[in-house]
Amino acid sequence: MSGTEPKPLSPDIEALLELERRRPDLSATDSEQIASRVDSTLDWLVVAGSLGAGAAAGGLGARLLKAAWRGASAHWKVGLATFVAGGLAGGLVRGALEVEAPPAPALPVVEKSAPLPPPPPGPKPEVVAPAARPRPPAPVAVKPPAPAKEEEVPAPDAQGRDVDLARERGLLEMARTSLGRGKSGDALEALAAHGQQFPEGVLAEERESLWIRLLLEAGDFEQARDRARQLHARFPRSMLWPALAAALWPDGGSP
Amino acid sequence: MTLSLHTRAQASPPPAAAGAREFRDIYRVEIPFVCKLLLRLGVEPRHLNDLAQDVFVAAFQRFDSYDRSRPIRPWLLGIAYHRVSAFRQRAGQQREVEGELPELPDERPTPDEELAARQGRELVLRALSALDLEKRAVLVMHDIDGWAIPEVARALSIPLNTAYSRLRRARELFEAEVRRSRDGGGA
Repeated sequence: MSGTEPKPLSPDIEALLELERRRPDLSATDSEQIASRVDSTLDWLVVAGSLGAGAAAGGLGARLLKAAWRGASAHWKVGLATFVAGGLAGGLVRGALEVEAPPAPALPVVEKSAPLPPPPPGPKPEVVAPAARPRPPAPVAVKPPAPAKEEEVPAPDAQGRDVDLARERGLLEMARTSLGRGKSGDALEALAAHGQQFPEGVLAEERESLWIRLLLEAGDFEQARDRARQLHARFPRSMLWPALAAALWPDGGSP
Repeated sequence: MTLSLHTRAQASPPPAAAGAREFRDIYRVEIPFVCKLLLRLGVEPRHLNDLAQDVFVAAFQRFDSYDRSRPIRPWLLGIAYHRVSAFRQRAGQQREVEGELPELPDERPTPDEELAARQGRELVLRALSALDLEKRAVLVMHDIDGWAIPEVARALSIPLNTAYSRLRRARELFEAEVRRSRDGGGA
């Protein structure tokens, strides 16, 4: 076959293709959703990458603490230092008493004290029997990846939905930016506001992802993992999960 | 059907934070283009968001290898092509079933002129569904998006002659399908 351009298209076919070239763009709502999820995934990929480099350099725990310390404001540093000291002290006491640590829960833990103010809880996943691996609950809590048909969801009109989504995105963008600047307090406020105003919002998954990052930045690795398990239980088909799991279980351990 | 679309997060080291910022500035502008591209490559609307995310995440992981002196859309098309191909293999999709097209996003009811345009676009997608992904990608990229064949060949990593050959055959099949649909009263 010779490498030459084929003959031109017939005019009616060309006209048809021109109609397709003029296809309207995706709605702003759908674009926002995609952008929000991609942003969250990119965040985790970068975190996973930096954690991987840090672990090679000097230990994962030390890396997390250093990152948290650098980014923390004064009151956070006090809280963090207290948390670490308490953890070390607890470890020493436990070792002395030779108490065998209970197995780490494989299931989402809803109630747990933390150096951070308790984050607004998302809807609790259904309680399941203890199992070696977390299992997603019955499909009730599954969030569809995309709003396929508007009429299936009792929702406000499209314009109202766009406004709500813009507000959601604004709050989460504030949280993301604050996290990037090491302003954990501001990030916490923005996430709490989103959880209060949009508990079941379109971007609830992204909110949970940012909560997990916040916990990670504060050095609370265990609660970050717990929260991640909750996210996975609530959104079992989450596109964020592979990047998030790689960051929180960098050695490939089972979540 | 479980959509395990995402490229493994640790397949290759992701760009550093600075690269992430650069990528963010670029990719958002291309969301509408990628979504239309995915539709034209045969992705059903219900999978559009997931596939679009998949494409951009895969692009991010390869961003260090992107030649900034070249246009980004052919590069994105190449990535989209491979992600769609992988998705189809996992989902076991073959040629789309002919018949009623799935409801497309953001197609609002409009006056007659717009209705005719919408019907025309539906006909295009129906005719594209008669092509396999390889031919479909070449026709979409050249005849709809307007990229020269050498650029198409580079994006799809195929020889130039192969690209020309696929385009010729794609046009034959596409035109035959359009005629068939029109003769059958489908448009």
